[in-house]
Parts: sequence; structure tokens; C-alpha cells
Amino acid sequence: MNDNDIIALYHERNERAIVATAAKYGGICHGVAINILHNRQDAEECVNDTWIKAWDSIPPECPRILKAFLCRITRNLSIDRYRQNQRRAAHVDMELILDELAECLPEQENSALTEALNAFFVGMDPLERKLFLGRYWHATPVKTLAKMYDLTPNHVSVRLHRTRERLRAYLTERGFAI
Amino acid sequence: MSRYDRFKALTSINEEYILESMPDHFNTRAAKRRGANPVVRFFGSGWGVACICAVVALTVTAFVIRAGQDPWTPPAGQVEESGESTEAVTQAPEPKEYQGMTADVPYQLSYYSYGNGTCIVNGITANILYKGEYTVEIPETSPDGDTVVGIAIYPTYNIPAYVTEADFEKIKTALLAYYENDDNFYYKRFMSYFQLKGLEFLGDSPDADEEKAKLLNAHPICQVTNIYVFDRTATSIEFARRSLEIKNAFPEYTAKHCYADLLKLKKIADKHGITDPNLEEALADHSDNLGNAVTIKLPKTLRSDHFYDEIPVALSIMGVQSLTFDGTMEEYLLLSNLKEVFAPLTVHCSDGDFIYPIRKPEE
Repeated sequence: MNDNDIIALYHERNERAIVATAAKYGGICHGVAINILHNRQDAEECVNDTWIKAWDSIPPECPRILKAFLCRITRNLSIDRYRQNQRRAAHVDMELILDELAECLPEQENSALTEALNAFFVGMDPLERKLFLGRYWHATPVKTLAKMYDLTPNHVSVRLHRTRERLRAYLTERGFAI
Repeated sequence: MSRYDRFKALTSINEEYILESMPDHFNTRAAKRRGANPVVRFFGSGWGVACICAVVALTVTAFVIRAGQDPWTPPAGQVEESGESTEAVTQAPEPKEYQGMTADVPYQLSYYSYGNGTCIVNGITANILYKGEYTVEIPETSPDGDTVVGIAIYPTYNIPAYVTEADFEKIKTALLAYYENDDNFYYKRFMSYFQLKGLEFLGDSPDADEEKAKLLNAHPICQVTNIYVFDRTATSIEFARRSLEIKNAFPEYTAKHCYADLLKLKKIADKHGITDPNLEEALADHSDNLGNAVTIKLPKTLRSDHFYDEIPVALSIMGVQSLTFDGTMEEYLLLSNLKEVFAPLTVHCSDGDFIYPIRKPEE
């Protein structure tokens, strides 16, 4: 079933929409959640919450790219869950990601920041962009990224470090306080 | 804003980037590059003594099509199961030289022809080695009349012929550390074939044999002069950046040792009463930097499917200031298939100039 058909089911308020969504995007949403939470049960719950959230959001929303729309929901739910669990289940890799992002992102979150980030990503080398977002959007472990792109983990780490430095400088130049 | 909110701040970025970095989108470009013709991977040039003066040179390679064969399509049976192609790098190509192609130009322009039985690929190489204001003109046709259809950029790490073993080890160690012994660095495939080309100016004579023998005895390491680095996954932009980074890693080397090597070479030339213009020029304008006012003139015959859109950016990183395209602006935009590129580079077209960044008009 293609995305338009699935979205049409949501608009018809047909519960098959959730079944179809889970069948098509369950794996990738689970991947997003597990990378952040490192806990299978919590990840499952976040993915299930994603379907509920999607059900509540469509309509009125009509996502242009359903896959990205669902992953965004999963990512936000997962980080909220991670935050709740943090005291009992902090994960070293996730803590590292959060710390590294604190180095290069400002405190204020608004549309100007999103715009600046998008502009920054436009000018980036595609591989660096994939590495950066693979790491900080999808919370993919460095070793996994290295394997995916035929690089060494150290090489990936160095490139991520450089990208963070550039992003920090880029945002600072544009008046964001980091 | 907490650390968690910072993490969330990335959530709203463009959906295309989210998709691009998803696991099922991973590595598509790398896979495409791994499948490219091995000749694309295997390419460097060691023309003459001029090459010896640069530790890192920018090689702009123009591919030409002969008899309808596409040089970017891997020949049958040459790509291994793993997707890696190694046959080409183990064989030295037989370059086909054309006299007079480099006359009166401050760069090296040469043609080569490489065949493996199933495919013949011709290429034009422009090695840009010197500082100065000049234009590198890529012709539309090869001397055989084949059409030039695409260009690519490869850095070559040319280690001077007379480097001592200790210096060579120093460079090799740094290169290995940079590439961390990964599979992307064919450091084992030193090309002794090209090494002796540094003595080409001596010609085929007993003198040449004698000098070669002396060098080989005195400097065993000079059997491995040029290191050609082929990265199966890197983009042209990465090539350009890496070249600069590696070059910056050897400031002392390029300033002192390289010049000393040129002097040694000149001593040999003087001994045999040979005046080599390339060598003289290299000594007069010895530099390890690319010219900062170099223009590359692109032929109109380029095809968009052979012209990576990152090439202008990579050229800009390497210090090229402008491109000249023998066609209209619209034709160039169609050729380069650019959406958005940020690079301080001027493009001169037949109907006007423009400067990056540009935005391609909506189709």
C-alpha cells in the first residue's frame, strides 16, 4: 500500500490505517526508538504511541512524507521517554549525543533555529550531512555509521567533531547564543 | 532549554534530510561509486619532472567516449563480488602520448588510452601544479577525434623521486595514520611504473640507464615514488579537502625537501647537458599550492550524466577561481544539474557570468 492510500485511510478514520502504517513503517520507527532508548520494551511502547499520535494528528495534518512524519513523532516520544527514564536507565551513548549537541546548539528553540539549521545542512557535503544526522537525528552509534559508510569509527568521530565545530561557528555568527 | 530540547530542536529539519540519512537510504552513493569503472578509480599521472615538484596536485580528468563505449560503466567481469575492483590498480596503463599538447601552457595536459579487452577508455589529464593566472583548457575532442564528455577530480600525492627512505617513511606513516589503514587507501599499490618517469627527460640512452641504476642503488625507496590514493566512497569535495589537509600536514617537507629534490634533479640534468623547461619552471616557481587564479575552461561537449554537481565546489576548495563554459548559462545549469551550491566560484558562460551561490530555476 502506498503512502497516499494509507493517508486516505486515516482521513476516512479507518483503523486499517494503523495496521498498514505499522506493517510498513514499524521497523524503521522501532529503529529510531531503540537507538534512543536502548530498551526494547520502551521502544515498543513509543512505537505504539506513535501510531496513536499519528491517528490523532491525521487529519487535520496531511504529511507530505509519511515516513519522515512518523519518524519525527517516534523521535520526540522516545526522547521524552528517555528523559523520564534517565535516572534509572541513562545510556552512555545517548548521554554522549546529548552532551555533544549541547556543544553546538543554542538554548533557544524556534523557527529561526530550524531555518538556520536547514540552511547549514544545504551547504554541507552530503556524506557529512548523513553522518551528522545519522548520529544526532537517528542516534545511530558511531560504529554502525562507520560500517554503513565504509569508514573507521575514528574517522566518523573526527568528521562529526568538525561538523559540530562548524555548526557552532555558523550559528554563533548568526547571533545564536551557544 | 534542556539537553533534551536541543535534541528535539533537530526534529523539525527538512524531511529530505531525514530520509537521506535513514538506514535504508544509507550508502547508495557509495555503492554507486564502488560500482564505477575501475579506470575511474585507477588514475593518476606522473608526467615528467614537473609532477615531482608537488606533494599534492589536483588532477582534473576529462573522459572521452570512443565508439559509443561509456567509460563509467564497469566492464563485464572486472568488478569483484564485493563490489571492489582491483584489477586496474595492479596494472600499469599504457599511456598514449601526443606531442605538443603541453606546449606553451603552464599545466600538464596529456592523453591516455587504457584497454582491458572489453572496454577502451581514453582520458585527458590536466595536472595543475603551478601558481599563477592561467586557464586550463579542456578540449572538446581528443587527438583521435573522440568526444570529451565528463570531468572528474583526483588528488595525487606525488612524493619526490629522490626522497630518502626516512622521509618517505615519515610521509607514508602520516598518510597511513590519516587513512587508518582502511580499505579506501591503496597504499600498498605504489606505482613503480611512474617513478622512473621522473627521469624521462634523459630519454633512452646509456646515460639514462646509468642514472637510473645509480638512483636505485642509492635510494632503494625511489622505486615507490608516487602514491595514488583512491577512495571508493569519497566525493570530489572530500578529495579536495583531504588534499589540502594532507598537504598542510607536511609544511616543512614541501618547503625544504621538495626544493632540494628539484635541485638534485637539476644537477643530473646539468651533468648531461640537458635543459628541461619543466624543471626550470618548477625551480623558478616552486610551489606546493595550486594557482589561486586558475580558470578551468570546460568544453561544451560535457554531458550532465558525467558531470558531478559537486565538482565546482571541489575546484573552489582547491583554489580554482573560475570556470569558463563554452555554452550558455542555461546549458551550464542543465549540465551541472545544480540545485544549490555554495562556493566562491565564478562561472563565465557565453551569455554572461554568474557567481555561486546560485539557485537553479525551478523546472
